[in-house]
Amino acid sequence: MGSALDTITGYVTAPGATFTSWTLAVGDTLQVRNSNPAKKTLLTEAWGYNQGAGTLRIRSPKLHDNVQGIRFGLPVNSVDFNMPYAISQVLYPQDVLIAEQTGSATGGAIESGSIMVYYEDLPGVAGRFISPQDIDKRGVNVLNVEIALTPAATGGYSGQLALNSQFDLMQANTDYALVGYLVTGRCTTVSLRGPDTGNLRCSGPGEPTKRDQLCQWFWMLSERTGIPMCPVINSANKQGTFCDCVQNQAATALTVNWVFVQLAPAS
Amino acid sequence: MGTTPTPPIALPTGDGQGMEHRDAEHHRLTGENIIRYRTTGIQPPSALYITSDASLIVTAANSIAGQTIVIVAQELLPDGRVMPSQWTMALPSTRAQTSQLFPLTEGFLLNVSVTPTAIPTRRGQTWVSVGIRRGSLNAGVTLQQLIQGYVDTMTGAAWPYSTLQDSLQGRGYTQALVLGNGALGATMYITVPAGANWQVNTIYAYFVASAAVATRQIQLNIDDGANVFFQDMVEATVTASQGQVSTWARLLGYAQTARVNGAVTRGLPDFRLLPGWRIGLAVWSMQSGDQWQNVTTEVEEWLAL
Repeated sequence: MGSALDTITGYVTAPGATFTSWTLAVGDTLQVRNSNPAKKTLLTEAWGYNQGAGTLRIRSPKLHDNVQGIRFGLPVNSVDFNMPYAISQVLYPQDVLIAEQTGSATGGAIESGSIMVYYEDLPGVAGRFISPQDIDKRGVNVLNVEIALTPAATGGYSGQLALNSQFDLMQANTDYALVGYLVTGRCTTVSLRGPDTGNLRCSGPGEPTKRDQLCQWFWMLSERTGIPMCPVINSANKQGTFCDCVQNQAATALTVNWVFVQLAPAS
Repeated sequence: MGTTPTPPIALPTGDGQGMEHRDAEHHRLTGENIIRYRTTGIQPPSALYITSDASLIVTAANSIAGQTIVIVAQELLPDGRVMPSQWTMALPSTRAQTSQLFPLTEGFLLNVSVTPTAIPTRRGQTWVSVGIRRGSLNAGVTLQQLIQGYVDTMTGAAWPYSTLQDSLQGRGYTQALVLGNGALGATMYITVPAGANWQVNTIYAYFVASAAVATRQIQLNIDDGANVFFQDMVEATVTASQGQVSTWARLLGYAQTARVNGAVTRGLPDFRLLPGWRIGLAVWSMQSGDQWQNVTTEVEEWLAL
């Protein structure tokens, strides 16, 4: 049974007050992946980064309704997550979501957002995740891996760098649980993906003023949902594990500080 | 002792006849329902079953700037819920057909409606077609047509209960086109735009002759862009520094030959012009300083290829 955390990112350009369908980031799709229908597929979080106050709307005939669906007001310059940690929306394999956003009408303004989806059983993917309880049992040391990203100004994912591109201090052949992260600048999304995540993006909002929450992002999601959602990265895969971000047209650079817990081998 | 009082007239007893009848009537008159309806295990309310392969294909053509159509549908889902869906589709004003697919979910399609948002939208400006399609826009198959016809501010289109209409059916969009002045010394053409069929009701044009000496003769030609198939030569000639107002009107049963107060009025044939066809305001022996001015026309337009 292969679990996965995936991210769907999209953006709109100068939408104004008109709900505009996302232009999806390269490689992303709004079609829910072909997961095991007998297992959970959950929309766990959604967020957006707006330069003009607006709304992010996610809907489909399989959700509550296909008129407004799930709708979040997005304030200006504040990338907040919008669903309670403990509450998730059930999704259905192969359903096509509709994601729309409003925001700034200033020409060239890129308003973007991301959706985090958890798959309990996604055939073909075997992400490694651990629960807070197991981290408590196996945790040895805390390690912060810092990466300075230089994003592009065109929307979507950019600035990709390997996990060990700037700090390469992970101990060989050791598992590390990712519990959260910190960012020095605002962006829509920071993400990490590699062999241990099934090459799907584990991500979160890039909000520098919410350090107290984001430093334990995956931990809190796991604890409140009761589902292991802390990715486990083995140091052997550090060169093939990549970090990138989603930024608006200002392309402001930022540094991501990934908070890992070194794990003792499982007994 | 006195006599035993005479009892009052006896009321009917419950003998299985009168009282039961009175009870039923009593229940009816006091609103308690006698008739019961089935609410479970009944047939679905729609004959149109949608699979997860199907989408709604919406094709539209439009001539009005800033037009958006709102498509609303309801489906009865397998779990018994009625799911409303709403989509919007922004339309270009080029009269070109554009299509978009909107995914549906498995269930029974109960209704679909389309309304325009631009106010006012008049009949003949926005035409929509809605159907059920399996597969993509490029490679799929449209299985059933649900809606086909014009929408306007007063009248949307809806399925079920509306009829499928041809885009050339019924009244079109009547409009007055102000075409202004033509180039000096040149024939002025009124061309039917792409995506439109016109019925020309009137043409009004003022021809101003320059001081150059010549005997001009006004003619109206109708061609398909290359081949002239109608020509009206106005008998009244125009000389140097003269002007003439010419009006043509559809179904007018005569052609004025002599100018009256500088104007002639003549009839136009009754037929529809296709995209790219032209009405040409020409002048026999036109001089370089001559000009057509204040040209206006009233046309009725349908959206068609």
